Amino acid sequence: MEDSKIISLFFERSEQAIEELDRKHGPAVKRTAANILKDRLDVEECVSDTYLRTWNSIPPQAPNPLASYVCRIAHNLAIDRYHANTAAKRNGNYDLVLDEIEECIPSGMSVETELDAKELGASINRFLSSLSKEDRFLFVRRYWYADSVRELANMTNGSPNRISVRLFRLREKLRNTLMKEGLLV
Amino acid sequence: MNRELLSKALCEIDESFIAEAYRPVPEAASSSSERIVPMKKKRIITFALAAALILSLGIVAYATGFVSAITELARSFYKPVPDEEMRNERPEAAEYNENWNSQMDEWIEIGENSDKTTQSAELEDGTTITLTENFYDGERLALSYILNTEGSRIDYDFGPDHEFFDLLSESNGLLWYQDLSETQYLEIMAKLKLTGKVGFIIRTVNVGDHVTLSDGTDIGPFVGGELDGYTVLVPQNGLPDSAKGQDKLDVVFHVKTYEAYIWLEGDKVYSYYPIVEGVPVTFEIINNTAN
Repeated sequence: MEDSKIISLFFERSEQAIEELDRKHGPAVKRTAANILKDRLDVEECVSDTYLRTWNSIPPQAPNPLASYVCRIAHNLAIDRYHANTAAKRNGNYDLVLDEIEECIPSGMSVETELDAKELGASINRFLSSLSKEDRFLFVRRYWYADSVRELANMTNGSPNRISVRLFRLREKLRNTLMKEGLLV
Repeated sequence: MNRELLSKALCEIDESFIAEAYRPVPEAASSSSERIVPMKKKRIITFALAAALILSLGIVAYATGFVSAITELARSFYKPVPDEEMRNERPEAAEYNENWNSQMDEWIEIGENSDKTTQSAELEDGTTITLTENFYDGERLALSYILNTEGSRIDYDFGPDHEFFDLLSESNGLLWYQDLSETQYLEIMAKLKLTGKVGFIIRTVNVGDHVTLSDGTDIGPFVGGELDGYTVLVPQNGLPDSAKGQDKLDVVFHVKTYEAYIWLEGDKVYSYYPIVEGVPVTFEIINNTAN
């Protein structure tokens, strides 16, 4: 079913909207959550919460594209749950992603304590704007969708090794951007 | 604190970038179990370093003597910071940028002045290693080489009866398949799906990241990068005193056949990576300033 029809079902308050959303975008939503959360139950609950939040936000919103809209909801809910869980135990795949991205902060330095996530996020967005489309794809898939290197290699028909090298260089570039913008102290 | 802030900052990535990178996920793929378990930070760093030292089959592009892999790698890695940006920076960032720019210039110059005479060696298993470019001025050393191998090999005769089976330890899911081709990976996953468990040995030819001198002196770990199959290496911590100011250096690469013993069972990954002695291959490096 086309996204516009699914959104129409939401506007009609038809529960079929959830079924159609799950049928079409459920796998991507589940994968987004599963890349961040290790526990299957957590993933299932995150997916359910994503659909509930989508139900509550459409209408009034009519997102286009719908896919990335629901993936973003799933992502942010998964991150919240991840941080709640991680107080007790490190959590697998997403730890790897954070370990990598943390390399962008040179040893002995830290992010400005006064800085909020929005400001840092704005800097990351400027950095992404400066990248080629292909590099931006790799960065977002790895550090937002939390895909594995192998999955990225499959998507781009490249070798995992080459992907790793490119990600390494992208982290170097991001570190340079954060330094240039004075966000590290 | 940094982790949480970075994590939340990543949530702020613009919607358009999320949409641009969105890819539909087939139902079958979404249910596949990418076995990834926590990995110590040291492993991550090692992985990043190893990633920067990738070896692969090469395409003849730089062996003509006219183009330097060192120069091209420097150009692809370093993006110069424009003067205008430099003037607007905080002092510490400006210093960082100046250093960044000067590093790029230095490596481009090294590449332009490198000796592009090739030297090759063939090992018993048919692997060849070719030094395509070298630079040594008594203080700095840079090497570029290409390794030609048949690729990774897999043997499926590994299981509970194997002598090394008891040496397995639970491992992470990220590293074990990085040397495999797509076909090999899918073959293994198909066997896993069929039986719920699968054991195999991966054999790959690689070059150790430590280069030694002919007298056994370890120059230390080398770092670098890979471009079109050419690997460029430089000593991570500079040259030791014994390697400085010489008319020539006999540098020894250690070509190793790594064996990884892997056992997959359900959601678990177990592995054993024995320490491997390399086959030494010596190349003579002449001090460029002596020419």
